[in-house]
Amino acid sequence: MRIIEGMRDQVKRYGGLFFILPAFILSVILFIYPIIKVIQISFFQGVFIEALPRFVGLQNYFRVGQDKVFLLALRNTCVFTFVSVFAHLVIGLGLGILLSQKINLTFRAFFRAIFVSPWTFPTAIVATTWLLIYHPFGVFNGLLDYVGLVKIQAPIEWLSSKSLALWSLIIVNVWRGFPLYFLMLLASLQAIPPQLYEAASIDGANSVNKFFHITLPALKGTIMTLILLDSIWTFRHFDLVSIMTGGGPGYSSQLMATYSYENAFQKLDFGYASVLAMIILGFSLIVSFKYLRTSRIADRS
Amino acid sequence: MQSNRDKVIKQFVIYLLVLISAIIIFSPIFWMISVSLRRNVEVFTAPPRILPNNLYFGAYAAILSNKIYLRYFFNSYFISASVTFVCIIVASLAAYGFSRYKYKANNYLLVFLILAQMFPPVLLVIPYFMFTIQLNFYDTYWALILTYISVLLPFSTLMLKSYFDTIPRSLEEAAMIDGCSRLQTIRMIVFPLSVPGIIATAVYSFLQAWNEYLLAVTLTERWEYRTVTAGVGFLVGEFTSEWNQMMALSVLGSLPLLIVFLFAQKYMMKGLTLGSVKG
Repeated sequence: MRIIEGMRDQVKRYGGLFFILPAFILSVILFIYPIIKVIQISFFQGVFIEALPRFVGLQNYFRVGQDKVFLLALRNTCVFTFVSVFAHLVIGLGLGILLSQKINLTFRAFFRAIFVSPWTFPTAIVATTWLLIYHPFGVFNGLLDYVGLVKIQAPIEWLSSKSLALWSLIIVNVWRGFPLYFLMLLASLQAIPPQLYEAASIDGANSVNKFFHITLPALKGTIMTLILLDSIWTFRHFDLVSIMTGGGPGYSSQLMATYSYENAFQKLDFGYASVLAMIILGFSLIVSFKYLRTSRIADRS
Repeated sequence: MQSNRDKVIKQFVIYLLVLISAIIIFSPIFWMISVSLRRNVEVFTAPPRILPNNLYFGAYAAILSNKIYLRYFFNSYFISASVTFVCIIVASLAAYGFSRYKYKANNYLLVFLILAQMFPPVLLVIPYFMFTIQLNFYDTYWALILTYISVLLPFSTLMLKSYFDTIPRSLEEAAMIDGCSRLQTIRMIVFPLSVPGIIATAVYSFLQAWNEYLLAVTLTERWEYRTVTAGVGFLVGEFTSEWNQMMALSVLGSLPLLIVFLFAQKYMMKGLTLGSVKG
């Protein structure tokens, strides 16, 4: 009897594992093993293209220091990430505040949908559409010509000029990414009790005071979460750059992810490509720990 | 009187700003649709024609009568649907386990699920590429279905777990006292109550699979296995002269998202608050 009771207890205690088991097995095969593999690859040279890859220790990691393109890609990635995240926040917050004002509800629902629309398109399609827009004889230059800012005979090369390419890509990424901020911040803004603002008005606070003392503190948690997650996603960005410029002209719009990809699938230098990807991972993990800590603090409060 | 007039002016300014922002934000999408509905000779005109001279559906007809493009669409629907199906089953089991059984290791597993999403796809694509070649399923549906599942599983599990957490356990306990087994409780109580959460997660998985580009271009080569996003990226290099067709393909390739967006916005919003941000 006791044994059976004991077994029943065991089933109760470990029954949950049966639910978790399929996901666990899939994760180990499809996720954990590949990651161990790629860490291993980062210590080798000639992986996949030679019969016997050579173990080179940390040599692939040391190459990073002498690689000018890496430094450029790192710099570009930092600019791309910083500017995108900052612009996402400013635009998302601005539009969120605009639509949280006292306005007609149908009007609000309609324009909320419009403001979110860029976010619903696949990145590859966004990239293609903007390629057409940025085309030297495309609509962007055409409109600038129409208002007299550009001569269509000498069009601006948005994507094939070394000084502009990265910034043109940033514009697309900003357009594509702000809706998430907008949606989340609008929801948080609408959750702020209006009595707070009324009380502040009675105390003689102006709009600027209210923004810094009521609005911003109330949004702090959401803003932190958005910035951290967005930094991770933007730092590893691949699709837009890969389709629109391929990292060019030269390496002027090369990002970490596209440079890693180029090393792997054009130069077949999988070892070095793994190292570059590991650097992206390192950045992501540092930010993730910060994210885990803030979300835990948010849970507690 | 003065304050009343101020109010009207303020309202007017708000509406004006909203309108201007909306025009700027929507114009690229408008341009995509507008170009897809004109003849190719009308794409580059100076000054640009905001609307086509007369509506031309030839670009759509060309896309929809080409078996290569139709295959892209089939592939995208097929792969996204399969991935979503498997993901939902495996993830709901795991999420239920996480939500209802409390182990000490649970917290670590949750941290693992969150961290799993932080791994850059460009890192994973290297071993995935090698495995698919070594195991002989490079350039097949399996290559994409299996890798998409591994990328989407952590997210779907987290999303469903936070949904299951909102279903009160007392309901299940009551059913169990009445003699229901664990499986009966799941079938008759937990499942019916979690349908909205499951739909939200499924919508998300489907859209993410549909949008995926990096793995799709790396793990497939023949057009027979190319998805819409990979096809679009590929065609940009191949033939950029038929811009009206490219844009028609883009519009058609965005349809599932637009449909979800128009009809299931509620679920999308739920998905946002459930999974991505709260973790």
